[in-house]
Amino acid sequence: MSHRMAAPISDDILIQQALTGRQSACSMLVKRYEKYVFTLALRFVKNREDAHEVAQDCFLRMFRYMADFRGDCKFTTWLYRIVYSTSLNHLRKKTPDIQSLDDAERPIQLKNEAVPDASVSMERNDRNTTLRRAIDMLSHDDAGIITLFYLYEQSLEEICQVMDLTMTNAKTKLCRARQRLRTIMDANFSAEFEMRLTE
Amino acid sequence: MDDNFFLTDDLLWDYADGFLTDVEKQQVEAYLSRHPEWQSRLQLILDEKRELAALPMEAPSPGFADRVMAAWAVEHLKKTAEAKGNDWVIRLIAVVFVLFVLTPAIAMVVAALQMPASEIPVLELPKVTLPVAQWDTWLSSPFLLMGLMLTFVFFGLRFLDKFLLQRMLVHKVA
Repeated sequence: MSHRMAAPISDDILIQQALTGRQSACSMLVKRYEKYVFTLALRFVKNREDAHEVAQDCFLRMFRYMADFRGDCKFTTWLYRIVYSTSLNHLRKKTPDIQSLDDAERPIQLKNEAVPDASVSMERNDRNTTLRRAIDMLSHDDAGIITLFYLYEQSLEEICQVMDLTMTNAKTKLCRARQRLRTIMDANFSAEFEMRLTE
Repeated sequence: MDDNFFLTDDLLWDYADGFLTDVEKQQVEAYLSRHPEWQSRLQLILDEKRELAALPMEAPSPGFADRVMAAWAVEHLKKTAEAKGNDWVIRLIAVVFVLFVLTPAIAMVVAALQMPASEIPVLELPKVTLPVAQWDTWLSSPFLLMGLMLTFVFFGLRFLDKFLLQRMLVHKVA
């Protein structure tokens, strides 16, 4: 007896169905992208509670403006653009002095005060956690651009559309974000790695 | 062979990320073949890239999608109910208008058409006097009272509509 695997429904079909008011299509879109949206929101706002709020706002905005999606870019690019602007608005509301996410002058934060010590000691052995902690210590847009490029595999052109940057700016930003990540890793976690290696 | 070419960490990252032109790529590759110590550096960069790409995604709390759908349903319901509520008020106003204004007017026109010309009363237009000197007369004017009454009726119906809408929403969300 042969079993044929059902092919996943494409985004385009789900969008069309959602536009006709089909709740199951809307729900499927949310389930398909909830991790992507939440992770990116978390990289920007650095707080799980706020990230939930931002992610929910993103999906509501996605439903509201879905009819405006013309398909001239990838659906994910359009969705990440919503995440970026919603996160930015959220950050502006929380800290009104944020003018821009361009942080050429911003010093690198070397200690992550947001991470509680108890959980840190429990997660020491996890290389992924270390990397995630280092990313958490980056600024909002550094963490965002690294997530978009390396984790979500968005091209530089797509990042330009998401973050409203020129190609040169996006490339410079990515380069700086990488450098800052390296500096943070060296300053905060190199001793941790050495200790682990000697164990 | 280009002896003036020196490899940097950033250039190596750009090479690993695929940002270099063909010429630059060839220069880097030639340099790497001559300097094996840089090959291990490239390997580190590739490892780091792999680690970044393999980072697990964060999951929202359980039931997140359901909460989003519930929030969307509430928003959708609100919009629909508002639209329906407005329709209801407009229809009621239209009915009141037809019953109290249009119907008597049509009835009068029909009656006038059926009467012989000699029996049609001659309409005398009322004399218009400025109400400034006669406030009490102006205030007791049937037009003003009618206007006030219609305003009260309109806002009363709006209030009733909002109240019913609110109750319906609370009931549906619950």
